[in-house]
Amino acid sequence: MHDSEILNNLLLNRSIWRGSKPTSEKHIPTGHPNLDVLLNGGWPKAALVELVSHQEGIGELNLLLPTLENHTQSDGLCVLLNPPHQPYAPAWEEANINLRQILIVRSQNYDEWLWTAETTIRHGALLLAWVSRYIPRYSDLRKLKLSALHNKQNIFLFNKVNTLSLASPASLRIEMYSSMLHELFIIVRKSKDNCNGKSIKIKQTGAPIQYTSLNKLVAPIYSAFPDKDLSQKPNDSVKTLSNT
Amino acid sequence: MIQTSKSKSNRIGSKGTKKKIEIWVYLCFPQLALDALLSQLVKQACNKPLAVIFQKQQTKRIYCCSTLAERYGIETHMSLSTALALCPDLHIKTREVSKERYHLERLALIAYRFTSTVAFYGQLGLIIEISRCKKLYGSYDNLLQQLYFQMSKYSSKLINGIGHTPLSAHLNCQSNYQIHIPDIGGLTAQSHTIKLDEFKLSQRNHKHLKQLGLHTVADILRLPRSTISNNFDNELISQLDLLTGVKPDLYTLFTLPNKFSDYMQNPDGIYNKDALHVPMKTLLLRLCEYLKSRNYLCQEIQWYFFPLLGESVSMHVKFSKAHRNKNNFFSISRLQLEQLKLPYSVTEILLESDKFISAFNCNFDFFDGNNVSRKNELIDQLTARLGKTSLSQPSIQAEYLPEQANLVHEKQFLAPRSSKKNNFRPLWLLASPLPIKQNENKLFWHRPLSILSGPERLCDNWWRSDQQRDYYLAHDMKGSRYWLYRDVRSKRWFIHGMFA
Repeated sequence: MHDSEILNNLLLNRSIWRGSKPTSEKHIPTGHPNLDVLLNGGWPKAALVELVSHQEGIGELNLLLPTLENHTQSDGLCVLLNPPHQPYAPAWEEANINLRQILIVRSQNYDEWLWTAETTIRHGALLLAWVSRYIPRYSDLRKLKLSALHNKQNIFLFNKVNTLSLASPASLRIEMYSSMLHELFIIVRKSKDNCNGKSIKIKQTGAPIQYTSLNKLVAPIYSAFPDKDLSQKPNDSVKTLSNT
Repeated sequence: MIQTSKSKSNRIGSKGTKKKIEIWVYLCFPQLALDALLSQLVKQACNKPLAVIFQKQQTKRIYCCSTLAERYGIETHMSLSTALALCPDLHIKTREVSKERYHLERLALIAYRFTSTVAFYGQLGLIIEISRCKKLYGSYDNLLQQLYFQMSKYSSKLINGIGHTPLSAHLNCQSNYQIHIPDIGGLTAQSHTIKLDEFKLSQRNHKHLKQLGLHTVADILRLPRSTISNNFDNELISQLDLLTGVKPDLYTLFTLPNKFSDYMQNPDGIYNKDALHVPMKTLLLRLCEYLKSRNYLCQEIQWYFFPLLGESVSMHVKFSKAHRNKNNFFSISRLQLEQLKLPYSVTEILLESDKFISAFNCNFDFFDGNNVSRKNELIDQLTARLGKTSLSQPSIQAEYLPEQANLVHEKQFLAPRSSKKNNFRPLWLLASPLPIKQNENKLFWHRPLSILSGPERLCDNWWRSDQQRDYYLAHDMKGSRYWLYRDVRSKRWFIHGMFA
């Protein structure tokens, strides 16, 4: 139909060399040098990566921020399928993530979840999927893995802890937990790169620690309104006006 | 198909000293009545003899019939009883003039893709002027071949006539389709061989011409004009002027309608959604042809499904980017159709659209166009299957309170505001703040919490509400980090975000 379509068909020919395209690599750097060393180069490319976190709020998503940054800044679309909460845009932008390339999708049932995951991968978008009410079947995950391989795109699946005992077709499966503040422990549970069972501790950036007990909290100086009952204030002002 | 059409009167063929030689092609569709009826039907009865009838003086006669019916010896103007005697299995349909006109407009739309000079000529045909199209198509033969190929998709029989004026093209109409066009000398010579019987003249004039031994146009053109005017009335002179191009022919040029509207019917009813796919694809193909003719792209389409009884069901399909890709139109419509509750049976499907943008105004990425179109296709598919409310996108608003600053709206792809701050903020924000327990000097959220830093006071705009919050960063024994706040007025604690 358009010139660009003709050009795209032409570029599908493998004999045409494209200078702008990097040579194919097996790994994508994670943005965490220690983790790259552990995973022999980074996240496996075009693969299903399973992330199992023992609890929320330990930095499980923080681990993927460099990957998300690279992907969205190069105008790649990223789909968040059934995230546990809504992304807080100022924080995501602070992490240099292009919000225009972030799409949040909520599915109503397992069929929709699976269809969305497949469709997303088929269209070449990066997928971050959370498993909430249902446990995906092995065969479905295998389909997703093959789809990721075929479409040369990654799937990051945040799975539940109780699935660790189940078999997984994922190319990489890592377990995450934290016992100390700003420290994330990562154990590789399954990998093609012979790093099964290896673990690493990642130091996370955070606010400066300054423990304060509740009864010693600093009372803010600025206060926009006095502590009086403000609900009566508009009425008072109306009275004043009417009197004058 | 065409609902509104702006028409304008134009002079076709005009007198002038330095006039460019015009080449007119008359396209005749002898089976128009039959094609018009069949094109709107989902199931086409092609394997059985078919005839269209009309009523003349209380007698039903054959108006036109299919090739299969002709094999039984059925001819036009034959009475219906005779036709049925020849072929008892004959399928009969009554002529519908409105549908014929509708179909002729569809054919005009195809012709319009080849030349802008298209006009309706009589009840069965179109007249087109092609002298300016030779360079584009390389040769007239190529043009006429391509025209035939496109027309034959909608017409079971097509014949044509070629001439240097519209009337000569019409009178030169042959019983087959010609692709070779003679030079201007040949065209003029061809018009001179036209028999005078073909002219629409009064019986008196025809009789008079025969008495004088005048049979062809060449015979009468040998006579001086004064002799012709003395012996015949203006009727003949007028027709001769139109034929030779001395006098311009006045017709209404076909102009493309501003709205696309087309339908397909199945009187037997369609009972499942899969069976709707074929007529939907046909209608979308026609839409794409319309868009090509106008060089338009479409962003919204509207489907209507009519049952035999009861109210119709409509389906609005919107695309994130205007295009004219038939497969994409269909895949999105099909996904949305799966979610739609249809009547028990559908007898008519209507497709409408008037939301177009010109393809001239669209810029396409030379190298990365495929990537952009894949993104749009994905968003369209997700919207069609999951609904508009299932898709959203985060963006930043210039507000103080976190839930107002973080606007998760329906997918719009707006440019976010850039407001970089160095404050430590959580990646997840809870849909609404959840109250947390406070026991003496300890806060509890699943486990005891310790406050790491704070406070940071955030207030709403004073004219809207008097909310004042002191935000703190906290963590539990297992290393989970939270964003808490204490409402200044109520002194209650809430959890508002998580540092995932």
